Amino acid sequence: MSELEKKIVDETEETPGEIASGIVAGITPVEIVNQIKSAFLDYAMSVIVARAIPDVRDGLKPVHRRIIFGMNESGMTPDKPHKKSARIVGDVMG
Amino acid sequence: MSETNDNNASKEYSGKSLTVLEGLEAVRKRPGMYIGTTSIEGLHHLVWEIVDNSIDEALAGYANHISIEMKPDNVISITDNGRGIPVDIVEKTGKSGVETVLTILHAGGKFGGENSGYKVAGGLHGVGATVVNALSSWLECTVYKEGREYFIRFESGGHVVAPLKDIGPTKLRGTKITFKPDPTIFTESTEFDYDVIKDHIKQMAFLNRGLKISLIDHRIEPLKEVTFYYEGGISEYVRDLNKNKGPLFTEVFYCEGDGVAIIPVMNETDGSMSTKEGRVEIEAAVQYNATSYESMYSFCNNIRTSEGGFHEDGFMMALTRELKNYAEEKKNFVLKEESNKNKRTYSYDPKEPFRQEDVKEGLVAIVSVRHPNPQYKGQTKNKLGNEEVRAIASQVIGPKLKDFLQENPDAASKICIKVLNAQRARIAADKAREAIRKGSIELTTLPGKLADCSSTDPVKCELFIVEGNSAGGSAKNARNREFQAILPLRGKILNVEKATQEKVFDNAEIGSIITAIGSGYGNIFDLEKARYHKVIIMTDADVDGSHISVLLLTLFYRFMKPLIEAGYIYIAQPPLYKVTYHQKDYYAYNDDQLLEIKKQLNLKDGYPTQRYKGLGEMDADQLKETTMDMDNRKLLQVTMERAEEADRVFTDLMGDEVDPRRDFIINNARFVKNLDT
Amino acid sequence: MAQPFSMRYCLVDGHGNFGSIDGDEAAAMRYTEARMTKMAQELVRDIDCETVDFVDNYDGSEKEPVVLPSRFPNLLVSGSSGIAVGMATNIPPHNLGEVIEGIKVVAANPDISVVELMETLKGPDFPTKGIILGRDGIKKAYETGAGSVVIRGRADIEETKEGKKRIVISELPYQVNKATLHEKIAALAREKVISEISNIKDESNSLGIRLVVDLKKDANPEVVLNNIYKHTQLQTSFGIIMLCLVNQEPKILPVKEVLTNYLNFQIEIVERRTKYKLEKDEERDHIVVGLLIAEDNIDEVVRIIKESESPDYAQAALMAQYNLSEKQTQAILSLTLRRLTGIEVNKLVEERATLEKNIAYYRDLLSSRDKLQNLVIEELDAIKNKYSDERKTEINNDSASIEDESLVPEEEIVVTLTENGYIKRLEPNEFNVQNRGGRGKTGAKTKANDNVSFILHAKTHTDLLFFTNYGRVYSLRGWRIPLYNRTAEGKPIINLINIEKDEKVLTIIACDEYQDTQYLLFFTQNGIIKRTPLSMYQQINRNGKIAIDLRDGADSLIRVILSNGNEEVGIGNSDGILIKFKEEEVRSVGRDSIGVKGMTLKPGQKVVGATINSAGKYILVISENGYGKLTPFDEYSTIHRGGKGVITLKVTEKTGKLVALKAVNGDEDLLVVSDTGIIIRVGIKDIRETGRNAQGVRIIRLDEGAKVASIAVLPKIEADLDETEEDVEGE
Repeated sequence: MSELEKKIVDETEETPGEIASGIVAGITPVEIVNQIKSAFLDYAMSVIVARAIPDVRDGLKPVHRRIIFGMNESGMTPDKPHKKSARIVGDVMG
Repeated sequence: MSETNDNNASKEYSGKSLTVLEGLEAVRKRPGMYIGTTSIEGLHHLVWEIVDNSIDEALAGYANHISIEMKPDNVISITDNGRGIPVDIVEKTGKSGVETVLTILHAGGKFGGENSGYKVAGGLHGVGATVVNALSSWLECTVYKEGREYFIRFESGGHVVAPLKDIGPTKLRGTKITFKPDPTIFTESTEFDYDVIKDHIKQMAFLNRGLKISLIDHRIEPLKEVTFYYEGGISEYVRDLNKNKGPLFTEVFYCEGDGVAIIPVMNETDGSMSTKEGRVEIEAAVQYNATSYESMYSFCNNIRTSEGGFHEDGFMMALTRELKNYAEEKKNFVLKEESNKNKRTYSYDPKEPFRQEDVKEGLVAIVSVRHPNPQYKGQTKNKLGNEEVRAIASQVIGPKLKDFLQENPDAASKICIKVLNAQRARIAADKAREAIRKGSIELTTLPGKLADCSSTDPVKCELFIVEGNSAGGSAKNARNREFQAILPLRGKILNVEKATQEKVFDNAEIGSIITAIGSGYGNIFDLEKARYHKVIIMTDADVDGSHISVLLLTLFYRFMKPLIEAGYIYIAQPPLYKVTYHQKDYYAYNDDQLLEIKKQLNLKDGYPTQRYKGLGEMDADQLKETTMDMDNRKLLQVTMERAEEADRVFTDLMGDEVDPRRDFIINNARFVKNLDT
Repeated sequence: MAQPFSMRYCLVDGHGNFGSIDGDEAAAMRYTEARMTKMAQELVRDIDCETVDFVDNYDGSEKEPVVLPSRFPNLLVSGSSGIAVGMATNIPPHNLGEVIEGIKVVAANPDISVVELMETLKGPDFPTKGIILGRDGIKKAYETGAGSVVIRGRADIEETKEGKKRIVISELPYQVNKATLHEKIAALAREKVISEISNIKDESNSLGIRLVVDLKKDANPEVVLNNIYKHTQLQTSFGIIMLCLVNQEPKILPVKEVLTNYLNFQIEIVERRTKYKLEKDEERDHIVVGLLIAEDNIDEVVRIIKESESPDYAQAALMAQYNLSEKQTQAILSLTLRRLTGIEVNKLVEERATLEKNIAYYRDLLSSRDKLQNLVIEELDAIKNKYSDERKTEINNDSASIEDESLVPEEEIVVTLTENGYIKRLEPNEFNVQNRGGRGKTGAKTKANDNVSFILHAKTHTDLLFFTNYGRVYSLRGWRIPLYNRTAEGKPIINLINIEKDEKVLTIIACDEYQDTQYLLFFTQNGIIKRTPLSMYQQINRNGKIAIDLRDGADSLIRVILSNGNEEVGIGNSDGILIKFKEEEVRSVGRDSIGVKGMTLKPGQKVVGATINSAGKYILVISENGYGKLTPFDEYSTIHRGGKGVITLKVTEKTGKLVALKAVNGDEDLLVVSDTGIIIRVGIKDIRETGRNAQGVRIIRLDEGAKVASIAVLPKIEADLDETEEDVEGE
């Protein structure tokens, strides 16, 4: 925790919350149709909006955008010498 | 056969044609030997014998109408318009031809001999009318021949009352036999069944094109009458069989032809044996329907060969061969469905040629053979054993089939599509069986990646299917070794909805899941054998994790549905966020819940919140305490109330067709800015 | 992004092995090195000016941009392809200059049509060059967002010193792997699918692609090339789907919307940049103003500072005294003494002036969207001038479909059709028109009981018109009839043209050209004659069209004859009557019309045959019992259409009704088929010629009860082909 965070924690008053702490155990039934629809939708939408389809404005998919931005931030500009490809990969992946 | 052949001077049917063989007391002593049984079946067999004789006349070209009358008091009368049984005195017996035929066994003109009146004979059991006479209380025979009417009556099992008498002139032609079966022999019943006779003669009418057969029941008021006459013969038979089965096309394939067989001949005078050439005639009719059953009816000399035989073999060989050749030539077949505008194309792979089993689905075929010297084999003597018939059938039917396919491309295409479907199912089933074989070997060797639990009580045991090797590692450390097993998955598993059956069974990852669970899959699934009563899907809380859970559920739904129905499938619920507040941990499973916690606890922005991106991010303790602890965890149990909808949803979302998937996404998606990666 | 064969303008400048057009893999990332290209820099230019929003990255440790400023229209220029879920995108690359000009053109005229736009933005421009066939695909893709475009590589035909031809491929279609293409062509040659190829070599080097396909002697290079286009990826189609995210929503966009979206985006970028700069400059200006005030009153300022206890106190005093802000006073307090020198002060003054100018300029820009747009266009032009290049991919007007016909050489053929509808085409070497002497074996072998009803000469590229008894006409090119050898039966014609089950082909007419002077004469059973120009039957295909209106089956077609327009027509009916009249009396009508009365029939009579003058010198008539007559056509007088006609054969019980009428020259053979399947062959020269009024003679002897079913007249040449000795046995 950072200093700031520590500070916030200390400053937070104790309030009798209505939320239960810890893991609330239990088995919840879920209808398979709903589960499938919701999980599939999450995945599909993510692939569409955040993976495989380019944005009309810059023509880039998220991964390409990250690479170009990352290269720029890392100073891999045309006026400087080439840098190892692995470095940008590492930067983008975090 | 369809016209009474008055002019055919080739053979006369006079007393000289008869061959003397045995006496009739033997028949009454052991009726079973001659007609099989004395039950209702045997009773009707009497009718068939007489009818067969008339049909033989028709086959020889002399008769074209047979009439059966059911009279009161269990009397039945069969009339044909053939030449009439010979009336002259037979040299050998000293009796009239009529009396000879009706009192001496095997006395029909059917057993070869140079002057045999028949080219091909029907009555297999060919014992003839004598048997009928022997087993009747009385029998009367009237012969209309060459302008004169003759009459003779027998009583008490074939004892002649008076010799054959010329009664007077007549314009009619043919033979009429009336008899009453002996109730002391047919102790069960001597009542004839209208429907049984009707069905039999209907089939006879189909098998003998152009022959008219009538049945009249005089026993009831008003009388019932029916006449069968089929110009189309077995083609019409096939159509009739397919009436309510959804024939795939309107055409019926029909062909006829003949071949040569060598048949033994006994010299009448000295009894020596020689051979001569006989003609084997064959007819076949075929149509396909929408079911997956095979209806093949084969006949020899009008007798049903229910055990098959060489005629069926030859036919199937020809059918399979010609369909194979046709499919090889055309390669692709297009099925246009009217409901949607989609066209499906089916392709034939020459490396997987059609087999007979593929060709049988939905096949309705009739093969009828006339053989001068049929040999019957098989357990019930219902299998045609003349080997030359196979080649004859194949050579006659093959080329005609080829023409039919070429001349009827629509029908041919529909047949090939059906056969291709059947073939596909066969190959898939074979692969499944192979995989079972392989799988069952593996069953004793559990997949290496499985970290199994020590208990062998399925009720207590649970299997965690975990995404990723790293999460797998944490899970292995976090688990309860006694009851919890871990199976890590490497990446995304195959989408079984889109994959061919072969691909599914070849897939190692899926194989390891199936083997680990232990209850098999598909048709060979056995819930009792499940090694765990809880199969828990545990994936990362990100979108790829969601995808993997969907892929797993698809696998379970399509191949291990009972697992879902039994409530054995669960989904683990690892938390997404943890907030520690005054030494207490609060868990949120989504963003909304996190907000709620923050609100309830009155937390400011920036309050330290732990976000669990992946399971691998948690260490073993965290994983245990948040997700896997058997006594303290949240699980979703997958249930299936809406089974039909489930089927549709899996097909739409995971199947081959893109459109339903796209429609679903567009109709349900909220394309809002804050979607996370 | 580093591969020049993948990217029209590379975004990554790679050092080392980044893969090849042969599909070779790139080296591992620890070996290769990279940096941005200048174009890539244009993507991020102005990112530091708060032009785009930033969000937390996946773990919240950093911020990343939601979109890049993209100072050139990257989507169209670089293209994109991706497979999502339930949808996919496939956008081809374009020429930078054309796209920018396209934006300008749409900005100037938002209602411009796609066709007009395409004069500027011509179409995709691939780094691999190649040729796009036709503009229709492009137009459809641009208009709707989806369409298919056919691309070809570049192939030239060269001749070697030895006179052999070869095909040299110098460009490939986009995304086609050269090694795969090479292997495919080699496989086709090996498997004799294209047997004219003798060898293929890859002579490519760093200067360019060069695939050399050597051809055998006498090969037709155009036909071979067409076959290569057809069977390999040297011609492929690129299915354009312009799917992209608009406001985080996937949409398929027509090209104009792509351009306007981009333009609006750039306006937003420039606007935000301007706002940012304005803010910054205003802030600085504020400071500078404060400093200048201090400079102007420096002595007093120094005094106040010296008299203050602390910096805070000094600040407060200055703020009060001169009405300055905190920031200004902070800056003043941070002044170094050197800043008091003349030069430095001047610098400040100059700075102020510049700032004021900038601020005015920015404010002005922000006041008008048009001004912003103009600036955007200016900056785009600058990009264009700096980076744009010549178009690489050629777009031509050719049609994209390779007709199978261009794969077939043009040559003579012979086609036979049997009564049961089996048709075949004989190989050229199976018949030889000059070869009359030899008796040859069966040229038109048929199945038992099936006879040849038609033989004709034509060419592979001729239209064959099939007329059926249903009054319909179908058309096939000669080469579409399958080739068989002499002894084969042929193929049921229902496989080639979409006739119905009981429809029978009556006649086939070969049309090389459709001259205006040619007519088709139709004769029906009810005595109707129809005359239609041949040219109206030009656009028929295998699905057929109506050739003559038969009043819903009330009538049926008996004969169709091709005429030059000036013929005399003869029609015969079942009662032995023949009428002869001039063709010109029949008015010419349309393709699917009814026709007019040719011959008046009494009840029970029907037309059994018809012919024209030039078909033969004699009229041969045959009755059902085998009687007939051979009479010169001239002997019949010409009367008017629709009349009753004269007796050609006296029909009696002995002769039976007339069943056939044909024009013959006298040297042909006559085939008579009886209804019992017996075929009898008679030389027409053996039939005695008689006058019109004479009795008929028995031409053939039939079995008792048998009737003539049909006849065929075989011209002398074909008589060599059709050996029917085996057939004549009958039963």
